[in-house]
Amino acid sequence: MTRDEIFAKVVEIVKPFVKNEDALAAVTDDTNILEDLKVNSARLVDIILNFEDEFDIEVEDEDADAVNTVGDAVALILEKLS
Amino acid sequence: MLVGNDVVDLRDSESQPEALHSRFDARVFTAAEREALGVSAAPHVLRWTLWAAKESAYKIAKKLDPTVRFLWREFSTHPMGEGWLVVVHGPHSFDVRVSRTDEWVHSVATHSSARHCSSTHGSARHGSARQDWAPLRSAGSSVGAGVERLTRSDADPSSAVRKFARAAVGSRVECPPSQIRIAAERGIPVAFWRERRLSVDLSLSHHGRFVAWAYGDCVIPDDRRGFAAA
Repeated sequence: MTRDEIFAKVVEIVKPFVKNEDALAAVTDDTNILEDLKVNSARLVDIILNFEDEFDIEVEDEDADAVNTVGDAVALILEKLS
Repeated sequence: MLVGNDVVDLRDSESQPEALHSRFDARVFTAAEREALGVSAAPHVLRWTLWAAKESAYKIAKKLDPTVRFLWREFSTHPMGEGWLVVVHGPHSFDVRVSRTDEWVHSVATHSSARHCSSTHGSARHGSARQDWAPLRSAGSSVGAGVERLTRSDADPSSAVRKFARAAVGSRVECPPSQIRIAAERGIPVAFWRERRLSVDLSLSHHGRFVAWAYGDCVIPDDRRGFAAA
């Protein structure tokens, strides 16, 4: 799976929880999931669990806490898949 | 006194049990918390009560140590009586006052000795409530907090909660809200009176149809009275 494919999949997983559609339309690696996309903090739990299911990986709590931006999520998934 | 608060809209579609991942509880709650959820007559309310308690305690922990991470199960909750919990995280314990209506859960965490304060709660009307912790005479400190329902004119909940917090802090320091400004420093809200930073700890939150705030000690500037009427 390429980085671009992972990025697209991450955006697809995050999308249902996004409150700021304008920020989603302009999403980049630097887009902050909580602050820019206005995802509720409790929903970040579901997003992490969906990453685990979609990519068949295990994300430790410590790793989950480090996911601030879309790029952080992509980098974490790439690392787990390597 | 440091404060942290969190509000959860119990009727928000995202809060409903069917909207949560099947492993949400296992990921967020300790074994004891999951056991409590398992036997609760109102697991939906308890789930978000525990979450709000953890989140409000985390907000203080982050103020104490900016490197603290929100590892959900490491913020363990312990019931202390009706409306009170203690959240333990490492060497720290946080006293958490929880108030609830059919529509929302609001938690206000304080660090250390606030457990012994008396409290008076405003009655919940139209989904809003004000809370005023009676002054802790021994510590010379007090906590104020409130929940408000967003209205149609409140397009941005972040702006709305700042509006209410300005009014609350302004009332506390006996200044018009227009003289209070609330900004964020490293994600933590801070209050200014006429561009002078006030010695008050703030916490703001919003979810769904509600916004909430809490403030701790508030030192009134010595020269405030001379300006307040201006």
